Amino acid sequence: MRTSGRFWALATLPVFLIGWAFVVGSIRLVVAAGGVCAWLLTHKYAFRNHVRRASEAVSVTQEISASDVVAGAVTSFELSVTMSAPVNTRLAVVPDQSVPTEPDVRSIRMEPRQEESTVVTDLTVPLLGRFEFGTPTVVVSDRLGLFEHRFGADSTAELRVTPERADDKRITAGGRRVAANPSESDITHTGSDPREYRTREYVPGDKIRTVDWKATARRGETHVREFTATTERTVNLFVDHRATMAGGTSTTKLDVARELAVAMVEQTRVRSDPLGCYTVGSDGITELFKPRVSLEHFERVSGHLDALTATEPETGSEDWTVPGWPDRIDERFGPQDGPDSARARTLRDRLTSDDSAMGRRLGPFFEQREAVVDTRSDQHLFTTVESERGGSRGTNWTTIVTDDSRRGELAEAVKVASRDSSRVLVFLLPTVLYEPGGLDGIDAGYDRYADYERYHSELTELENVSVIEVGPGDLLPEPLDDSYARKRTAGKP
Amino acid sequence: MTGQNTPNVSEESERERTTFVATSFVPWKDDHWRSPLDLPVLAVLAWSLWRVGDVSGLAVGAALALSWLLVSNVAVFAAGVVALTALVPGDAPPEVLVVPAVALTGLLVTTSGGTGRIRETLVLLATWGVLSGAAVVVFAGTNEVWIAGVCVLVLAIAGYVSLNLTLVSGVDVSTDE
Repeated sequence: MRTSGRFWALATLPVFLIGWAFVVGSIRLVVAAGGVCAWLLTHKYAFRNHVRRASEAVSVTQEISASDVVAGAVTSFELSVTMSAPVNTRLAVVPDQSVPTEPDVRSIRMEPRQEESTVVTDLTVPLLGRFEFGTPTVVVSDRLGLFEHRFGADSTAELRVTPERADDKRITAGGRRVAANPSESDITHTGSDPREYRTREYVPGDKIRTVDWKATARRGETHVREFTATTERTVNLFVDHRATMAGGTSTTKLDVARELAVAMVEQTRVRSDPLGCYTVGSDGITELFKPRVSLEHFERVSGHLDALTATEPETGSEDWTVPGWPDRIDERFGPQDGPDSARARTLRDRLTSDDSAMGRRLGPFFEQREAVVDTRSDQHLFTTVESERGGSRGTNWTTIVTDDSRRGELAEAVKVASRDSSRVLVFLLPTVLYEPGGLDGIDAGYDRYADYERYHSELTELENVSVIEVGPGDLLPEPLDDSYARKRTAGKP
Repeated sequence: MTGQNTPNVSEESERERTTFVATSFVPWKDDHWRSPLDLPVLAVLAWSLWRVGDVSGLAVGAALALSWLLVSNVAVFAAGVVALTALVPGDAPPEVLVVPAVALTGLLVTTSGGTGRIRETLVLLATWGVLSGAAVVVFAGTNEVWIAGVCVLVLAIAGYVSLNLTLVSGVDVSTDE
């Protein structure tokens, strides 16, 4: 309980009276001082009763019109106070102001004997993440302004602010569009599934995606696959949010990556698989969630991913937006001083004169003599994957969400991951598709995309690796899209 | 009473809405400090002081009435008691003091805390009785005014602390430590 300046001003009166009583030697003034003390105690007693009644009678509710909102969208925060019995004192209810809203959520002030009040604040939250409007504070103050008491009302409200969705995306696997949005298709299940299944006849209510078309064709009746989990599958999700992921025009690569990662978490949650999540920034791991399978864990991971922003570039780091994939493989094995670079030079010399299939394939990786080697250990995705891979019982799935700015590093990360994972899924965001005017100029655009395509193909050919390309949907016209699909189907772009 | 975005909800600034009005000393101008009952009480007080102190008493009564416009009733009460002690000699018969003392006491009961005037008056008189009784007993025993005064203060502080403790224990969700 707090006492005001008024109270202390009045509390000096009996002291003054007693002091004056001592001076004049009059017991009457001491009795009068007792009167002032009695007056103060009486009002204190009355206030105590008001507070007790208020704490019993007050009921506070906080409601948010939409608990899941996109950043910048307006939502309504409603604060209501109901008194089950009137209380003859002033009451204010102050909501939790720790949530960064614009404007601040409004408080309620109730006059004595007022029984109900509601206030609605239309607000926006500029930050991403999960926020909780904690316990509002009920402030009771007496009519004379002598005392104040605060206590918490049992009410909370949650608000999740998600980034603006990149509505138009082009998600392709093997050159074919598989989805427009991550949630639209079970994108995490491209490729073989380690789960066992049995086939049975279709019954109404079965999902169309469970239809086993081969069995249907064989037996003449529609059959569906019924999956049964045989092993515990641990999904390790690596999300790159380094500075290069901020690239893009209206939709950045990180916007898309964030959405993909959240969709991945959601699908893992639905399957009740343990999920580990590692986010990688310019200085290394920014957050680490060890594999777990609780609902709270999934929510924490989703909340973190939703709030992910691109980290600042590492001091002195290069602009990786004009990558050359063969150069980047030299990031680790380049012609730099030291055993690795010496080994690379030897290999290059050998491969130059090697006409075998292996020599033709590996030759380009080593033919660039003046390749730049990054010695600033700007390979945090690789080191994170290397340090966090595997380690779980059962089947490990690794999912990497990144762009192709550091192609060499990504290739190495994928290779390392594939050693311990039964499956590696890469959501790859081609830089060329996100740059302003990335495909402007048919020749330059084609060359850059073809360069990316070569890299994409190389990654896809790795064992147990699936690469899903995610680009802005409006960038490539469908005919061009289809032509790439045909080229890929044919083997080489 | 319903307050769906009605005038019940103040449009004041956030600071005004959440800051306790009495955390700083402000003039005693709130409506709750002023009661219409104060006017007849002040009139009786001025009259009784005129009776005991003639022109000086009337002047004191007028000064107290004017000070009532600026300070709280309790302060007027304290000033009135000091003035009364100065106006009435210590050996004056008690009946001389009765009317002005009752008028001054009236100033303490006209300001209500909202629990109910009669109830508050009874509590006030009972508490005052206990404190005064203790003071008189101690004075009778020691014949020292200051010891009686300290006794009153100690008892008042004890009462204040005990009320504080019962308030904290009575409200489970207290955040006001």
